[in-house]
Parts: sequence; C-alpha cells; structure tokens
Amino acid sequence: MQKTFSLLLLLLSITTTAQESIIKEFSEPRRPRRWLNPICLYPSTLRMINISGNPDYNELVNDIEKILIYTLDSATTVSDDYDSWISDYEEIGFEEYISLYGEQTMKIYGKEEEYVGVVKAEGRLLTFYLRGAIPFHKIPTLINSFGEGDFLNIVTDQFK
Amino acid sequence: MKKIVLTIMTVSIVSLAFSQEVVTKYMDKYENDETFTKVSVSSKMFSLFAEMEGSEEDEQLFYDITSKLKGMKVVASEKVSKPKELYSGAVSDVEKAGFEELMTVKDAEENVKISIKEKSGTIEELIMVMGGKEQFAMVSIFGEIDLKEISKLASLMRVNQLKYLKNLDDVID
Repeated sequence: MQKTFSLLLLLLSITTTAQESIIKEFSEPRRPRRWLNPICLYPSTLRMINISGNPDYNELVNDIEKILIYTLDSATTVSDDYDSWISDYEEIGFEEYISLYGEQTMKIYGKEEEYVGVVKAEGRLLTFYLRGAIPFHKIPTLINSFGEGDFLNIVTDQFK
Repeated sequence: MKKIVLTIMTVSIVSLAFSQEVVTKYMDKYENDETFTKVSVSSKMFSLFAEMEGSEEDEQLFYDITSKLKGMKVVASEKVSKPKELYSGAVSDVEKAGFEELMTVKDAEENVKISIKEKSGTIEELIMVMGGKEQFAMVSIFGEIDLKEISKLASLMRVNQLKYLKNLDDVID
C-alpha cells in the first residue's frame, strides 16, 4: 500500500514538472538577454513585493504556491507563433479560461489549480505559469484598491 | 444500443461545434485586425468582470446567474469603415444560423438586435448585434439562459456592450 502511495506521489510530481516544463522549454531560449532571468515568485516573495501591505493583495495571493514569469525577446513578440506552446497545454487538458486580443493580448488557460498564460502589451511579451488557487472574484476589488507605488514593479524594473 | 449511444454522441458533438459559431466566425475573420477587440470568457472567469461595488444581494444574484452560463464571446470595434453593412451582414448571419429575433432597438445613434436560440424549451444562446455610426459589436452569451435574470447582468458586469440587455425587461413583462 505504501509503495502504491509513493508511486502515486512520484507520478504526481513528474506530471507537475512536465506541465511546468512546456512553458520553460518555449520561453527559455527566447529570453532577450542572458541576464534577464525569469521571475520566480513564492508565497514569501509575493508578500514582499506588496510594499504598502495592501490586505486585498495579500488575500489574493494567499494560496498561490508559485508564479514563474518570462519576458520574451522582440523577435518572438512580433512573430505569429508566440502562443504556439498553448496547444501543448490543451493536449494535456488545460481549458481556455479567457482570451482577449486586439491592440493587446491576454490568454489564460487552466486546469484545476494550475494556470498558464501570455500577455502582450506595450511592445512586451510575457508568458507565465502559476500554481495554486486564486480567488478570481477578488481581482476587481484589488484593481480598485491599489494605488501608484503600492507594489514593486519587478517586471518592468528589469528594463531600467 | 451501441448505435444509439454513438448517434447521441455524434449529435452532441455536432451541436457543440455549431454553438457560438456565428460569433466565432467574426472572431476569426477579424483575428488580425487590431481595431477589433475579441474576447472569449469561460464561466470560470466571469467573476473577473464582476461589478463588485454592489450589495451582497447583487453579488449573490451575479453568482446565481453566471453559474448557469458556460461563457461569453464579444467582438467589438469603435471604428469600422462600413458599420451599416457590417451590422446588416451580422444580423443576416444570425438569422441564417437559426436564431429567433427577440427584440430590436432603433434610434438615431444605433441599432441593436437581440436574438435567441432555444433547444427543448431552454434558451442556450443569446446573441446581441449592435451597429452605430462608427461602432459595431456582437455579443454571444451561452449556457442555460433565463431571460428574466440575464437582463440584470448589464448592471452586474463591467462589460459595456451588455448595457443593451436592460431593454429585455420591456419584452419579458
């Protein structure tokens, strides 16, 4: 029985890694400069960037285990296949949660408590992987409540 | 028995493929046109557009309505070159797809047509086509739709194009 349980745990960890690896395999070779590392946020770092201590934000990120964010290069940003990796996630059961495209693009796909997505705006392209639970209904409240300078903008600050 | 199951499965798959086909067609047509905003939202993400400044009652009503829906698709542009042609073409496409007209609103500024598709007494899709002097919008809401409730979505969601749903109150009563 214990062996079966251990095997199940091992399989689960392999699946989780595999799901994260799809986005990594696409994004890693498309990082613009060697020094521009992906941003990896865990519960402690997620709370740390909330410099004003916004309670709505803390509530929103409370059950997030990990967020991985890649900023991709300009060639990928203008290419047509910047979101080609999403089909690999669809094959393993990820569903489209939201797609918005026009001047800006945002796509979020999810399966249980894992989310992947792409955001293309203001000439920049980001891909992300998120593991954990997010109360989506709290996001509008958060948007209403945060002000300029409430958060350390770790993504755009990399370009300064 | 196997044949019956297979037939039911085929019919289900075909009807699933045809649902939201009108709006999807427009989303595909303007996929690379940045003047058109295309949005596809699954029911799991409706809460992202919720107007949360309302009361607890509104919040409950929002969840009651959206829990029965499967998703929403929107194609919209603030500046189209031939809005009248686009509007009449879209209205015609909706009719051809077997939708029944529910109501039309016409004024000096814009035309709005709301149509529905029913199956076994249940409204499974509502399409709203809007054409203005320069604007165009097409909204599809699909799932299990209750007309009495859906008109209230306009004030519960931060989606501008849904404002026309308020007009449904006049038709229902």
